[in-house]
Amino acid sequence: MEGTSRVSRRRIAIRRGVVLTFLVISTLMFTAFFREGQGGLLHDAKGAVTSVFAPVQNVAVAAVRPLRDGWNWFGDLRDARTERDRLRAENEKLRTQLAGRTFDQAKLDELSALLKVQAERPDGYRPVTAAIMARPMVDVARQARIDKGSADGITVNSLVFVPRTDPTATSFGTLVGKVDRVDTHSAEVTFITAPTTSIAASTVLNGTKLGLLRANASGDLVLSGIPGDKAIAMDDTVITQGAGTDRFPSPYPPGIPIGYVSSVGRAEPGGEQTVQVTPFADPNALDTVLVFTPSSAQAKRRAGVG
Amino acid sequence: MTTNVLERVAGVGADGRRGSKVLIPAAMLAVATFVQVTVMPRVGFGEFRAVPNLVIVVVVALAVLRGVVVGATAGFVGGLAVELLTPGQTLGVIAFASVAIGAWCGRYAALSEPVRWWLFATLAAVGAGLVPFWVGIVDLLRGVGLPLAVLMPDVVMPHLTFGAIMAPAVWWVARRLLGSPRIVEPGMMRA
Repeated sequence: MEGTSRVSRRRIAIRRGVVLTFLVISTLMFTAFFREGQGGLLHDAKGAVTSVFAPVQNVAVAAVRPLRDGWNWFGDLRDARTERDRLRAENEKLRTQLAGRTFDQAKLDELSALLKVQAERPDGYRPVTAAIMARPMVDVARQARIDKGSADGITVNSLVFVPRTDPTATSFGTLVGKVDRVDTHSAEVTFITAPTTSIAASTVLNGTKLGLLRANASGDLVLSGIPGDKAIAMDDTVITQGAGTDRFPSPYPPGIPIGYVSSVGRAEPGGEQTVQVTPFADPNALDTVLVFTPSSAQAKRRAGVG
Repeated sequence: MTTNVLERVAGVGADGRRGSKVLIPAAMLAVATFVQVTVMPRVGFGEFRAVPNLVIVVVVALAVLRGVVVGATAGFVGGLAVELLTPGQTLGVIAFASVAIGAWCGRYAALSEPVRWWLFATLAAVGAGLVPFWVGIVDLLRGVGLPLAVLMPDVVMPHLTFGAIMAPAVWWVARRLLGSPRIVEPGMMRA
């Protein structure tokens, strides 16, 4: 009887020991991971494991893609109808505005110049098509891993775009994020809907620097710091400003479309106003992206890799 | 002699009872992790900010069928593997939650009444909901988390629902591969 009790106590001690050991190891691990920088030992270990497993993930992604594409077709059809209705309404509104307004030639030139920038790919960048192969388990709209890495020329701060296939679109694509970490055969993208991303942005109709575009904790894009006297039009396109200093240039070149104004907050007298922006591309729904890696000296300087 | 060793590794006892001590649970966890990091991120669920967590459902199944030690070990290995192989700014956070869930669910292996599928589905759903809740709380403490008003409906609830949906199939597979619940712990490998 006493022997049985001793065995039982020993088993309970082993059980508790195993659980406690794992809990302590996990705690030490995540504490060290949060404290160390991007180039820390644990970050590097994670990158190494990812690099080893990336080819397997690529094969699996390719195998699942036909099923996924079939499923997405239905969703895309619904989204395309919604987008068509929105553009139709916007078109109608613009026609009305155009008929009732005499355009200032200087303003027209400015808008044309902006549209020209949007219509072309950013200068000094080389496009690489990449597939999204993994997402975080908890918040899929913040980050993703793509199947291209340093072996394909991807660098930190490469720009991540979604090509616009809509024939009426005035731009070749829309910004969805930038590369934050690169391994040999994969890279981690942080989307513009992550609260850690901030972009100096303006609207096409205003042209001048307006404010800082940043996602709130919920992932909604907010353009803040806009002078209260600036009139912001609904549905106006929001673009990057490319602001920065010579020493610390912005990684985003100017004139890249991001989204459109979906709500304008009331301006305080003499204060600032806040605008809600809906991105042209939903990071949740992406399968493939276009990564622009810096190739010119200026682009490399922007990305901080030159 | 060789047969005896193979039987012990594969877990087929002298009485022919199925259920592995090491090999089959490890294989189940490996397959679940593989599916988790390859197929699951490609499964579209509209506006939800969640990728279904198959690994935690398998961890709960292993815990319920093999006890605390197997549950905690599977939770640690599975959670860490998922964190290593998916993007995100955590390492050890999901593993911590998975160890706690695996250890807790392992207590059900010692019940005199066999665990029913609906109890397993409840445990799996709660476990699947607790993982993102814990990650969300840690992120909030770091100042980068989703607000609770978004975390609960957009992340935790979908995870919980996905867990409940996947549970019956995982339970069916686990029962066929591992047989009835029995505790496997160091020092009682002959059990």
